[in-house]
Order: sequence, then structure tokens, then C-alpha cells
Amino acid sequence: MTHILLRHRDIPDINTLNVYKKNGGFAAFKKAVTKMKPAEVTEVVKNSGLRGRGGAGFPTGMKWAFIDKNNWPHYVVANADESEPGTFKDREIMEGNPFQFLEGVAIASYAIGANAAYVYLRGEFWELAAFLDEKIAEMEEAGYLGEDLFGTDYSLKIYTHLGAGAYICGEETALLESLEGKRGQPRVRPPFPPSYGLYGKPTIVNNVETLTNVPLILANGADWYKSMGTVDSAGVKIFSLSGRVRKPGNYELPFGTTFRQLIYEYGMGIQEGRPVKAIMPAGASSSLIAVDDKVLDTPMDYAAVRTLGADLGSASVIVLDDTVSMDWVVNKTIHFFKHESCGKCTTCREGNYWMRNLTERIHSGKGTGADVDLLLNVAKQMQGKCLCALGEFSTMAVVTGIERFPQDFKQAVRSNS
Amino acid sequence: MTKQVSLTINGKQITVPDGTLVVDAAKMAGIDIPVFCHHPKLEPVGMCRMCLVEIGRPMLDRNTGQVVMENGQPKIQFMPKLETACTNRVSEGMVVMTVSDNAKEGQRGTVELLLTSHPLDCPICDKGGECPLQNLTMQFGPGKSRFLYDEKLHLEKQVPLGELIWLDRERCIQCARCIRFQDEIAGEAVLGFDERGRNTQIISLSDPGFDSVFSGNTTDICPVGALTTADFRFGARPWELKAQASICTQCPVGCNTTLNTRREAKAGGEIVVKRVMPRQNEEVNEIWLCDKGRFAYHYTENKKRLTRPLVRKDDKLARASWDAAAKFAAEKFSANKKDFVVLASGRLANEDLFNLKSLADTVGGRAILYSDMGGGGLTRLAGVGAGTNIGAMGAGDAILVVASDLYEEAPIWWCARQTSRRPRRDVDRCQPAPDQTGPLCEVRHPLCLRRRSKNHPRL
Ligand SMILES: Cc1cc2nc3c(=O)[nH]c(=O)nc-3n(C[C@H](O)[C@H](O)[C@H](O)COP(=O)(O)O)c2cc1C
Ligand code: SF4
Ligand code: FES
Repeated sequence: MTHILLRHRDIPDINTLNVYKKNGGFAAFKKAVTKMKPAEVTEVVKNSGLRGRGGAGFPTGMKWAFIDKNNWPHYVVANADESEPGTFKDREIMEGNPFQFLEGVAIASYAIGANAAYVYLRGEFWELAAFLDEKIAEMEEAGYLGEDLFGTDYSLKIYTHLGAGAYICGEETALLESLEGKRGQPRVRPPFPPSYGLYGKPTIVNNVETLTNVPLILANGADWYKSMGTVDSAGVKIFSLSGRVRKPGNYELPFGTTFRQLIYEYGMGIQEGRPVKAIMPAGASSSLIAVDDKVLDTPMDYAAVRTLGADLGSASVIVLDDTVSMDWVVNKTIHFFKHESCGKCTTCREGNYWMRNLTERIHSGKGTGADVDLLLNVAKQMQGKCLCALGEFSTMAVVTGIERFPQDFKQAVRSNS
Repeated sequence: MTKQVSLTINGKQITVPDGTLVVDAAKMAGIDIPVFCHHPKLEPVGMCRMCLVEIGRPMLDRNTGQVVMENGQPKIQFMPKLETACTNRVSEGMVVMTVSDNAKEGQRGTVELLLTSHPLDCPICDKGGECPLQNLTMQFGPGKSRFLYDEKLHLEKQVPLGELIWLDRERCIQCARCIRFQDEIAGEAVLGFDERGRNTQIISLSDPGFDSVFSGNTTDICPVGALTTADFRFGARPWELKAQASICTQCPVGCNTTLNTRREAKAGGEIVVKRVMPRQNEEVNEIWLCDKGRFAYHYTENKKRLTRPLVRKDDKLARASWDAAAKFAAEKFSANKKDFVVLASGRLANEDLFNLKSLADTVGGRAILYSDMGGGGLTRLAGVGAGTNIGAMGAGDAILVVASDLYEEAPIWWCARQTSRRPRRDVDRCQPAPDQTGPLCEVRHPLCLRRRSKNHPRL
């Protein structure tokens, strides 16, 4: 299958301007600016069924249409913070196929009437930021960015911005705060960015992968895009596969591919031929799915994964086999969330500190059955009470781990119970 | 007039102005929703999660946009999660439940989490007895902790943020009230958070530390004993203190204050002032006080201060009784009659000025008030004078400061000016010299130009 997003795997040197141009690059942007009204562009994206790839799966065209047209200026922000443990797709896109991503940013900007767009990258991507700066400069040189594009009065500048290495800055409002030069902490939502975003102005925040889809949707039409994937989730998705599989990596596949296909056809199965025990479909933020044949044959799209009591999220599929005990997994994820909690709200700040004490005690064999009960209770007490989704995410693996793998926890505390 | 909306809180129907926060609406209905980060003078942030309540709104039909009715009543759709009353604003037909099982469980949970690493050192804490955390724990919290005592996080307990304010890092609940006060009210954003997660800590961002003339206010609004003043900390328990209403005499603002006093063995059984705090008066100082007003009273403790009368005899000052001293003064006053002039400073209280004037009249002398409000006729027309409601400052289009450095001369007015800029409003100056507010104002200033146009600004 030829790739739509990871096109550098099919076309050598597509990260150079000439090769990208030769392969139809910037034609979609030019068509949009010279031949289409902004609302028409949004309409095509809406009809394509494209949903946000940053985790929530929110319909992209609908988000663009929400932009407040009575308050100007507007901004586009590409979320390149990619910090979810197990997610490593945006980086490959930006390194391998940077112009398609930047063209996506440009088209989104035109669609919502933004003359400035920002690419917010996690601090560790400093080299990538410098690389993107070069690509942006090349686009300016070639007349794809700057003043009066394609002879119209539309102007656009794209800027990169580096974060300081905090997971929370992937959350869109914390990202905006950080971009404004403030402490990266989430804002109370609503208001949402399309009405109150960067510097208080209407802003569209989209994930890198989401935006990279846009040029080809515009070039080939909404129906072409919808012909891939499922009714619920149109198009293709990059699955970042990791864990105990033989061949971890990024796999660009249509929505609806089953877990079994991903793990066994593409990931070449489990190391030492062991059975799959659990799957985390959305990185560390996932619920733990207890795996059986039915689960393996579930098509991966937003709706179907929900029937398994989990969210597909950013589709960073972490596969765990029967050598892995869930109390170890939960200790790991809570270690992460305790470290990354921004500290703004009580629930997540104190809750994760408490949960970390408990998971550590349980995992190190010093815990009791009462500690497991308490851990479950604290996690549930946190649910629905955090200021942002990070705190909510932190409880997912804990609650599902204890409820779906009670044996693992009994085993962990057996010497004290 | 702003639109009014009706809503129901705990079954009680009330009507409040549109845009009111649910927590404030509840207060108007006599219902207290517990809060920590929320402060009526600060912008809402929704971060402490104490004010969790259930909120429902009338369900709207997707197609018609009409309210869906059920048994003759609007059908109420409740939010799936608990909501923060300090960030949600009222809307027509809203239903709020603050004491449902769900809401109470949420509030209990937040107190429990806040107390996990709290040192619980109330017996030696200055805030003990007037501490919102103590009070809300009694009212909403669990009686017992499920958090292991030995796993509490320990942090520095004696951190001077500056010369005047000390921080106890263990007691801090990260509500950011102090940071937000400095930023939003004082306009001196010298405090901030360092680190993140459970390591989040208040730090001073300025050099010298806590470089602000309003720093004392943070100790008033800190809902725990994390911030204390250098002079009062470990000085007394709040319930031992007597409150005396007073007025600050340090500048023309006349902030309303409370003097907290008690008798002390250290002072030979005399009554001493233990601290000065602001007393709420929305027309003068709201609930604020500058550091001069709060700390300058310590001059009264100076050993060299005259507390008993002395009478000059043969060029030497000698001790005398009050009676003898008064008699001596009266004799001298009446002996000089017309040459008798009293020069009184505007810093005296009205009562003192009245008495001085009476005295001068009795002996046939003259009393001269050696100070006057500047500005003359203009001040009376549009300016600040006796009886001006400072709380209404900023209700017009612009604030004109004439020949005064508010920051130095009337700090609380500087603060009021600061808050009235929210949302943005012009603040303009006609200044003899550059001051804290910035560069000089020019005659070509837009304000002056607009003044000549039809829609000239209200001052
Ligand atoms: C704690 C947290 C971390 C997040 N991290 C990322 C991230 O690294 N990259 C990303 O694209 N979205 C991230 N998101 C989702 C964003 O908030 C936002 O929904 C997304 O960028 C919207 O883009 P989309 O509609 O294209 O998915 C995160 C959300 C949360 C709550
Ligand atoms: S849930 Fe966690 S990350 Fe989100 S605001 Fe609260 S403390 Fe910060
Ligand atoms: S008072 Fe509402 S969240 Fe703090």
C-alpha cells in the first residue's frame, strides 16, 4: 500500500522542496488560495470525515467552523508536543515529510483566515525545530509563505516555538499559555480555543498528523478520503506500535484494521511467541484492555475501541504479554503522571503523589490488600474532578488494571495479606 | 441595567444579575459553597477543586431550540461531572445542588487530598483560629486520614520571601491567591510558582525578595498559615487579641484598619498593638492595606517615644504629672492670647482637629490647618476629595492623575487604579516629574484631543 502521510517511505527525498513539488506539492494550497473561499475549504475537510489525531478524535472540519468570526485576528497552532509515552508518529512525519505537514498548516490557516501560524514543538525536538525553520525559509523563498501569496492579498507566516519539556504542554490550553510565554498550565474550558485561544484570540489547535492529512484531502476530494477507513472513523491512521512485539514502529493503516492484523501482520507477533495479555491503545493514558480473541479481532476505530472500555486516543498501541504484571505497569504509569502533573489542581497534584506511594508500596511487595482497595478508591475519587484531562488519564490504567487484572494485584501483595 | 436571570440553588429560587458566578449567586441566597482558590476580588481560576457542585440547565430541543418540557416543568439536564461553582456563571433556569450526596462527596474528597501532605501543625500555626482550611475541614472534611503519616512530604518551614513575609512550604495549598493578588491587584507580579506537580512551590521572582509595597495583603488572603508577616509570626494567638477599629494616618487615602491589641507581660502589663490589618470599606480601601499602613505602627514601640509629659524649667526638661503639665500649658496659652497660633497637620483625625480648634478659640488664638487637598476647584468637580467613593474609580472612561505619584503618596489608590484597568481603561497623567506610572503626559495626548470632541471622556 502506498502511504498518504508517511510518503517519504515511498518517495525518496520528499523532504526536499523540489521533490515535494514534483509530487504535487503545494498544488492544494494554491488551489485553496486562488480558487476557493475559506468556508469551502472547511466544508471539504468537514465532508471528508477527518477527525483529530491528537487524542480526542474531534471532527476537524467542525472545529474549524466553530472559529469565532466576530473576533480577530485568528491563529493556527500545530500541536507538535508529542509527549504521550508510546507515541512517536508526529516526529516521523515532520522529519520525513515536512512540507506536507507545513502545507496542511498553511491550508488550515487560509480556511480560518489566519495570517500567522505556530508550530509548538516539545523542547527535546530542538533539532527538528531547526530543520523545520529551514523548510519554512525555503517555502518563503519559493513564494509559498509570506506576503500576497499566489498574487492574491492573502499573507501567511509560520513560526516554530520550542516548549521546555513538559507533557502537560500537549494539552491545548496549557500549550497556548506556554506559547504566550507563561507557565504551561491548562486554562479552565470553556471557553475553548476557537473562541478564546492564543492571546485571547480565536485559535485552531490541531495535531501534526491531523494537519498532514489536509493537503491530500483537498487534492483528491472528501469522497476519496472517506472511501478509506470505517464509517465512524474515515481515512488512515498512523499506529505507533510498541511493547513486547517483535517489530515495533509506526504503521500507517486504514481505520478498521484489527488489533490482530497490527500486532501479528505488521508487528510480526510477540517476542518468544508469547500470548498477548493486555493492550494499551492510547499510550500511558490508556485503559488496560484484557485481551482475548474477540479483542484481537476488534477493528481499530474510535467507536469500536470504546466498546472495549477504552479510548483509541492517539493510537499508540502498547502491547503487553504474559510476562508483564499489571501492578508493574500501573506503577510505571503513575510514576509518569506524578512527574508530569502540572500541580495546578489539587486532585491531580495530591492524588498522583498519593497513588505513587501506594503503587510503589504494592509493587515492591510491601503492600496489603487494603492498599490495593485504597488505591482503587483514591483513583475513583479523582475521576471527574480534575481541571484537565491529564489527571483523568492518570486514573485510567489504575482503575482498569485493578478491576480487570485482580490476580496480578493479589499476587503482588500476597506475602502481606 | 444588566439582565437578571433566575435560578434554583438547593431548591431556593433566586434572581441575580446575568454573568454572576454560581458561588457568588449562592452567597446572595445565603448558601455558602466552600472555596479556597476563589476570591471575590480575583479572577476565577478553578484550580483548588473545593467548590464542586452539581449543575443542571434546561434541556433544549436540538431542532427547535425550545426548552424541553416534562410534566409542565422544564426538563433539566445535569452535567455528567461535578462542576466548579467558582468558574461557572449563572444562566436562566439553572439548577444547582451544593449539598447533594455527590457534591458532598466531591468536597470531602478535595479536603482529604489537600490534607494528605499538610503538616497539621495548627497548635503552633499563626492562622490557627482564623484559618479557612481548619474551618472547611471541620465542616466538609473527613474526620480521619487514610494517608500514611510517615509518607507525608516534608518541606522547608521557614522561608523568608522578603524582609516582611515568611513562607511555610508545608502549609501551602498552591491556591495561587498570593501570586494572583500581586499580579491582578497590586500590579507587581513578583511571586510565582516554581517546579510542578507536588513539588510546586511559591517563590519570589524579584531581587530584593518580595519587592512590593503591598506584600502584607497576601498574608490576609492566604487561606492557610503559609504566609505570615515577619513581625506577627509566633507573636500571639488570634483569639487573644482585641480588635479596635481605626484609620490609617500614613497618607491621604485613610484606609480603614483594625488594630489587634492585647496586654503583655513583656510590656509591663501595658496594652500593645500586635498587628494592624485592613478593615473592609468598599468606598475607601476595599480589603487592602499598603505595607506602610500595616507595618509603620512599630514606631510606637520606640523607647525614645514620649509617653509621659515633660515640662521645661530653666532650659531643662523635667518630669511632671499630667495635671501640672496641663496647668502649665493653659497658663502659657492664656498669657499670649492673640499671638497664640496652632499649626495642625492634615494627618490628625477630625476629632483631634476639632479639639485643637476649640482650644484655639477658647483662648482667643488661631488654628491653621497646615495641609489642604491639592487641585482646588478642579478636584471638587471631578477629582478625589473627602467623601469620594474610591470603589467607583474606573467606572468612567479614564482616570486622570494630576501632579501626584500615587505609588509613593497614596499606594492604595495606585492599587485601585490598577484594578480599574481590568478590563482595559485609559489611565492618564499630567505629571510634573516622571513617576512609577511611566513617561510624562503630553498636551497632545489623545485624552486632551478627545476632550475637545463631542464624545469627550467621562473622568
Ligand atoms: C495531558 C494531555 C496531553 C496532550 N498531549 C498532546 C500531544 O502531545 N499532541 C497532540 O497533538 N495533542 C495532545 N493532546 C490533545 C490536545 O489537547 C488537543 O486536543 C489536540 O491537540 C487537538 O488536535 P486534534 O483535534 O487535531 O486532535 C493532549 C491532551 C492532554 C489532556
Ligand atoms: S489535572 Fe493535573 S495536569 Fe491537569 S490541571 Fe490538574 S494538576 Fe494540572
Ligand atoms: S474555589 Fe472553585 S476551584 Fe477553587
